Amino acid sequence: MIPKEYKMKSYNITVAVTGMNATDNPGPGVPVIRAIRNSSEFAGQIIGLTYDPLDPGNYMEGICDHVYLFPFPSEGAKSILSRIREIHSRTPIDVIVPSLDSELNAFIKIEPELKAIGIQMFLPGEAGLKLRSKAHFTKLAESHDISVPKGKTITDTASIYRLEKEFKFPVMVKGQFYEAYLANSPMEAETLFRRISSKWGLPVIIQEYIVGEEYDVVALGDGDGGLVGAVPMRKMQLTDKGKAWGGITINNPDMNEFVKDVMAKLKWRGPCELEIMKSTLDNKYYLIEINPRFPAWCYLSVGAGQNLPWASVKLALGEDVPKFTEYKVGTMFLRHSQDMVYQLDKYQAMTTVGEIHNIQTSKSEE
Amino acid sequence: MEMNNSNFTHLALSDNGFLFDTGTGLTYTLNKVGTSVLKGLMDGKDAEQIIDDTMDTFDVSFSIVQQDVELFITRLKELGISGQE
Repeated sequence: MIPKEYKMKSYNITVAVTGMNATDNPGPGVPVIRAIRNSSEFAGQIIGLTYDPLDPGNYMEGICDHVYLFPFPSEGAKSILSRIREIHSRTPIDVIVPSLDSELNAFIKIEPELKAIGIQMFLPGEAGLKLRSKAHFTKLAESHDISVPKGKTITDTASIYRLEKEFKFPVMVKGQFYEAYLANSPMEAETLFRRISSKWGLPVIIQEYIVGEEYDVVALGDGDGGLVGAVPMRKMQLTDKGKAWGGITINNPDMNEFVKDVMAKLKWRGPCELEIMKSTLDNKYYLIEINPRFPAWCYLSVGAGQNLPWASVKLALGEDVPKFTEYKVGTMFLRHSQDMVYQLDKYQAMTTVGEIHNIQTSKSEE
Repeated sequence: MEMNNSNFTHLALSDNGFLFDTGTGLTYTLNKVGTSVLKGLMDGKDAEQIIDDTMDTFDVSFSIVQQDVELFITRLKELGISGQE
């Protein structure tokens, strides 16, 4: 029997999380928060940092204690820092978990200023982030001896018609932040180039198409080449954007070794999602993409026995976190959508004051 | 037909024929005969033993069982389930 004085360590901290959107391509904010709350060690409060008063995560019961409207990354690091200082003066923050690709540059830039006011994060450095950027990704084969598909960045449509000299169609056409489509011909690639560049800017990335099975891995690196934890899954059902709407954890020792090797070679610090293809042509594993944040399906890691979001919070606090060595194989997730019903007052507060507190749904609203 | 039971360590097969390939994440549903044959393979039995077991359990002739077991094993290989694509 454990003596009474041996209480489990409890963290009465405030964690701020971004990515509160929850469309059919949801942000990771809500699952990251669910994971943090799932830890029996967490005894603090959660702040949601939201870009849109209509983000459903703002209002969901049991998710945030406070929600603050937050400037878009395009407004720049200064604007983000100024808003965080303002929020911090009202609701002091201990840790921020940025959850979206597009905001990471700004958060990495202001990391020293945040540290100075007592706010911690556990993110890759600027150099690490640059390495995984889709524009630099193709060089990983040479620079880090990591198996990646052949790729090229292009900035104009004329280059597309020269691709046939270097690539065999079909090819993948990818935006620098989001979206990837298969192009069967240069004409199709041109249409996709225009669509993607108008949305996500230049360059657009052309990547060799690897025929095979795709797997996704949520991983957390310690920054020294060590892997704190990793959970691989196979998507079981997809949205029309190719996003996971259901998945299952798998155990593939060769792929797990590949993941360990990639994380060691990159000395990745912080969370990430690795997209991996096993080629049916040569049976080799190829790293297709690194997303430098938790994926929206990261709550599966909790179900499989590795609460990686909570581990990242503890690492941000400078705690020692033992490495996870196991996970439950065959753990599934199935996503669902549900209409939530709210009265106007909270939305009104979000749009006018830019913040809401004490979020809970009363019976009359359900 | 030679099969090594170490080729099946990545498979989880339930009594009711639900098969989960832990390496690929793919799932399959097998009928009673398929379940019985695969269980035999996973236990390290050879085709001959499996054919005998199947004939003991099901009322069917040797020639049909032999053909079905061989086809089944070939199909496992085609699907990559046996670890030998």
